[in-house]
Amino acid sequence: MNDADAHSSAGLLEISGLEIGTSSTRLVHGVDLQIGRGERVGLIGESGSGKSLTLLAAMGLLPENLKVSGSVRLDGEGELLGASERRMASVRGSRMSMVFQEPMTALNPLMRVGEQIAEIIRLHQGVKGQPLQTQVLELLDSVKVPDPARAERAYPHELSGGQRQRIVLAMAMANQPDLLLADEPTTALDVTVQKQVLELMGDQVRQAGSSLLFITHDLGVVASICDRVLIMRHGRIVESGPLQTVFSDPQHPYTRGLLAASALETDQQTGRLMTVGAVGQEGRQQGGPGQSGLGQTGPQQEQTGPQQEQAGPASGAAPHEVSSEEPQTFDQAAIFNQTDAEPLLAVREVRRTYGRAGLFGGGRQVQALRGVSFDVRAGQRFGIVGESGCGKSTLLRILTGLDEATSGSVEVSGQEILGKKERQLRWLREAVQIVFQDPMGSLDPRMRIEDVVAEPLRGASREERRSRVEALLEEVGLPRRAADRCPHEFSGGQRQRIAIARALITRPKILMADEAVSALDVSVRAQVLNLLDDLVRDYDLTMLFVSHDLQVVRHACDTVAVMNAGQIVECGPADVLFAQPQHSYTASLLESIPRVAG
Amino acid sequence: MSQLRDAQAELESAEQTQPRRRCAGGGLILTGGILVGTVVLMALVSLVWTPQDPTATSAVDRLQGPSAEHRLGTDGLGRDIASMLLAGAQIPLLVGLVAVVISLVIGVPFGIAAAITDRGAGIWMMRWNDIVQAFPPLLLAIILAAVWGGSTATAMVALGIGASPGVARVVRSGTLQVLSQEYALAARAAGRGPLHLALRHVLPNIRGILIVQATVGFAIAVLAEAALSFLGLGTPPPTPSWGRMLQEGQSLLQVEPLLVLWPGAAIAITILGFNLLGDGLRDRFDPRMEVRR
Amino acid sequence: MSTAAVSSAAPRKGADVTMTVLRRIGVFALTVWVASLVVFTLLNVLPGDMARAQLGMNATDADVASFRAEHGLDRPLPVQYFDWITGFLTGDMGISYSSRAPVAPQVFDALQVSLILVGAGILIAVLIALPLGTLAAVRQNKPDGVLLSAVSQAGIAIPNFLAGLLLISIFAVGLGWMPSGGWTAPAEGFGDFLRQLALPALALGLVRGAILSRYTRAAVLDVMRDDFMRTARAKGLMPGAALRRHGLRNALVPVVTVTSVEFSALVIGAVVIETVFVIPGLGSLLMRAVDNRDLIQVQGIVMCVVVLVLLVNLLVDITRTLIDPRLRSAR
Repeated sequence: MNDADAHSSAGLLEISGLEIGTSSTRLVHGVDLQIGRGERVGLIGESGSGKSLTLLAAMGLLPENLKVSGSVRLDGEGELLGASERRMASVRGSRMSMVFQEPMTALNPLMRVGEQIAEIIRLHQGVKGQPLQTQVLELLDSVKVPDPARAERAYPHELSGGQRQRIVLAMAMANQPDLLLADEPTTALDVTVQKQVLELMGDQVRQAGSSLLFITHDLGVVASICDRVLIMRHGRIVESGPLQTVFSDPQHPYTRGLLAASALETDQQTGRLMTVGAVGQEGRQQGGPGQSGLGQTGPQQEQTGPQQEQAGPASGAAPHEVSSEEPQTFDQAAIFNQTDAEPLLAVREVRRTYGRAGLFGGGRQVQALRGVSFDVRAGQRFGIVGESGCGKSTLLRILTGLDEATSGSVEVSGQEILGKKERQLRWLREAVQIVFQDPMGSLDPRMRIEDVVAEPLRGASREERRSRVEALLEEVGLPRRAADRCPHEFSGGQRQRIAIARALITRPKILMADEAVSALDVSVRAQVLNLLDDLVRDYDLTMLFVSHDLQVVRHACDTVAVMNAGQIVECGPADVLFAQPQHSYTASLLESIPRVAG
Repeated sequence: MSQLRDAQAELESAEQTQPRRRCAGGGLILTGGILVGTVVLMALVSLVWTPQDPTATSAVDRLQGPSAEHRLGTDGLGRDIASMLLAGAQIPLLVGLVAVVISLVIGVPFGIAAAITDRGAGIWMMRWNDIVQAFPPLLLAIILAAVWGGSTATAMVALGIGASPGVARVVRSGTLQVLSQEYALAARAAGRGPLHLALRHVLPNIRGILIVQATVGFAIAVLAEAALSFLGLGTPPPTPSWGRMLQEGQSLLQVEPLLVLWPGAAIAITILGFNLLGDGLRDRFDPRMEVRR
Repeated sequence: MSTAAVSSAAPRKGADVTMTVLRRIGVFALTVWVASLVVFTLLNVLPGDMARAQLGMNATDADVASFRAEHGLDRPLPVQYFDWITGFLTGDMGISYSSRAPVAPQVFDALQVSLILVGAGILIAVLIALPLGTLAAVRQNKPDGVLLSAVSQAGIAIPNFLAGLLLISIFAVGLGWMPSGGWTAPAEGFGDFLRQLALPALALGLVRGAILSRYTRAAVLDVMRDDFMRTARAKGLMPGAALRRHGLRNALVPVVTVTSVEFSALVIGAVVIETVFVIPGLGSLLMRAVDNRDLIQVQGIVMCVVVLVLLVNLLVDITRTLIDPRLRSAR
């Protein structure tokens, strides 16, 4: 564990024996951590590991109801735990500063951005007037905010998430701190923006000669910015060392599982995703000769559905199509993944415009979908990737009849679903089911699991209902008696299993997944993906999988469409598309994925 | 406003929020419950028994101090104050109860409907709601009293209707919150209609808000009833009522301030009881619902 | 969420504010119009027969007919409405049924008195609520914070007319420092005016102040949990400075919002308080009109009150827009 402490001779921050707890429970158990000058350290852990609390303890910003003991020493300041508020205030923002996770709420919504940056400079350097103004503009320029003069006068809500995070970074670096603490600073951002912000952060820290303590759950992100990592679990540090060593030769089983799960590695023998072994109670015992993932290590992709082989134009593979690079101004958007045989799902020229003329003319219009056309054949696993705001969720809601398109046509098994009344869509409600993102919000907290799972079911007798619910629960790897419990008794991964059970109770033809694993920890994510994989095969499902996460889509789908700004820009077989992206947007997306290796 | 942060998630996963919430607000609920219970008990007892006939006047016994016969003395017309206080609890509670029921019966479906039809009729429903809200309950009661004359019935109806826009507003925001949850979307994707959504998802999940709203509404109705009686527009004599006792006491303020103090204290205790109860229930059900409109 | 240029909203601030304000004023006008329909309906349709309501059940048909003719009640309701509302807009509220005098001058005189009372009341309420509410939030777990909280809770439980009676019995009857009621216009004697205003304004302001201070407390507590407050601390601001520089303005938004609801409560509270203190304001006039079943006068007064309430809602809305830049381009 100590092989990485070469820097500690020039130790900057030294945390030892840190314990944090409530009156009843201990949350952090004796954490030791040293950071040398100029060192960039990643603290990795899943939610609930205690990593954020450790960081807040270093800043002296823990909630008052928590008890903390141990030692936090900053070079030149001495012991910080228990230091007076006044002393901490003089350290915060000048020698140690912080970047938070949520850029949308981290800035004061009522104060101009420039003033918020100026404040931290004035506070610690006492600069005023014109020099201060100049310094603020320079800072804005250095974090590459376009048009600094304008940004300085803007309010936070007028800026995008990425820009706000740049502002927060500018604030944090304003006084060239010795140590920058970053708490999941890019988790809320899109991959392309994430890449830019990470690079920026690296540059800034390097230029100022600051040390960095970077907290994240994402191993790929850490790899791109840190040189030493610590793995934290259940309030303890389980492994630490230089990045290369830990990632290439992990010692602790948890680290190994975490690495495998985040890279979506597949088991060579079973072809199933590797999961974090210790979280066994989430696992599904049933093995079987599984469909492989499309990951690097998986065997050659094979078509399993018979329909797929018939439907494809040549050898079952979908064609690889790209839209022109110029923004499309005419309505002749291409139909992607088109098939000669009758497709299960045919989407044509779907447009969606939000907003309308206001009561007194204040209306604004947003084009969420600008003419989307594609086919999905029976048995296909069709992935849609794109960054937030690209229209992928809107599209999914239109396909499930939850939102109305402004124009266009959607046919499921040859039947039009747009513009139909709810009464005429009853067949659709059975044929198409959806699994949502948020495992906390997708189950009604006041319902028993039996009622949750059986909600889509109509006209079944009591006994039939019960037995189908129990059978399904078993199938998704939960005990039968779960039917009588309430949602809050289950973990995130278990809730997502319940949501999947609900989606399958009508034996649908098409399963739509809206970011279905995005809110889960990596270890749980692999298990749920394995489960989906099995079920799609067992139930002969056609799957539409929407996600922002390219790796997940690549693993879960055989055909992938990339969306940008309300349109599909590229579509093709997953392995081909990811190996040889044709459209510049796809290429930039792929380039932005933080990679664990290298 | 702020999203679920990791530190909070870490905290909550440790605290298992359930037991904490179950005991939150316990002290307030207990205190409020005792106060409200006392008033309810007074009203119930007075239905079958009062020390004296609360309406019997006696010129001889005017303005007497406390005695064995009149525990709290008599008022300007020689009526027994203790009996009037007991019996005076009936009308505020009755008016409060009916007004709250009316406000819920109007406000809950209205609020839910406005939320479900959010982008269509909902906007106009809430504009209408704003207009009704420009008529404070007491003003509405005065208008109805001008048209039909003051009575218990007009008070109940006016206060109930007057309180309904507030209920509708709270219900709408609660419903919107429920509807924005993925389980509501899942129900729609399962082909469930608005009625199913309202009954199976919305109502159970806004139950807490409704209980709080009803409790606080009760306090407001009791206060408004007292004001109406004080203005002489509430329940007409001879039925005893705290508000009218205050009004009658005002003219004798120089002679006997206690005539004001007794009914005043009764009103204040009732309102305090309901408010404490409401605050306690709010702590338990929904700690963040206090101000936001 | 692209990294493209800063959204173009920044320099258009002035235009946005103007547009928002104009839109609010438009909605206000529409709202007032609908409210006038409601008022007219309540007082002309509900009673069935305004003349009958005025003259009582014992009046002969001939009396009723001549009363109708005199006040134009024999015309169709839409015509009556049009007549009333155009009159109202030009400052004519019709002729009183009981005193046979024009309604408007009386209402305007009384309105001035009421506005002074309400203004003083809200001033007292705000002066009490903002500092005490903030203090109660900041010191939420300390004894003084808890005490403040308890006092405000007790304050809410006391109806304003009871507070008025208690103030009279202490300061007028008991100590003899203040008059127990009455009214002097400020022009006729400023000292008397203040002495007579003090108790009723206090009775109004204390109770509303207690309620408003609880809202303030809740709003400040809410803000103290916000992310940007943590950012402020991370910058190196002391807790007090963070609250002053970043917290209070944010907390003000919900407080200003409830002020509009509180204002209508205060206006209607003034009706009762005027009765307690024998002040010749709108409330006293309204009560007299109700006693006389003078529905045309009631109609005028009610419309005035409703317009006043809606006007304050409008002002509050505009104030929020000025405080909170997010509201400027919203909706």
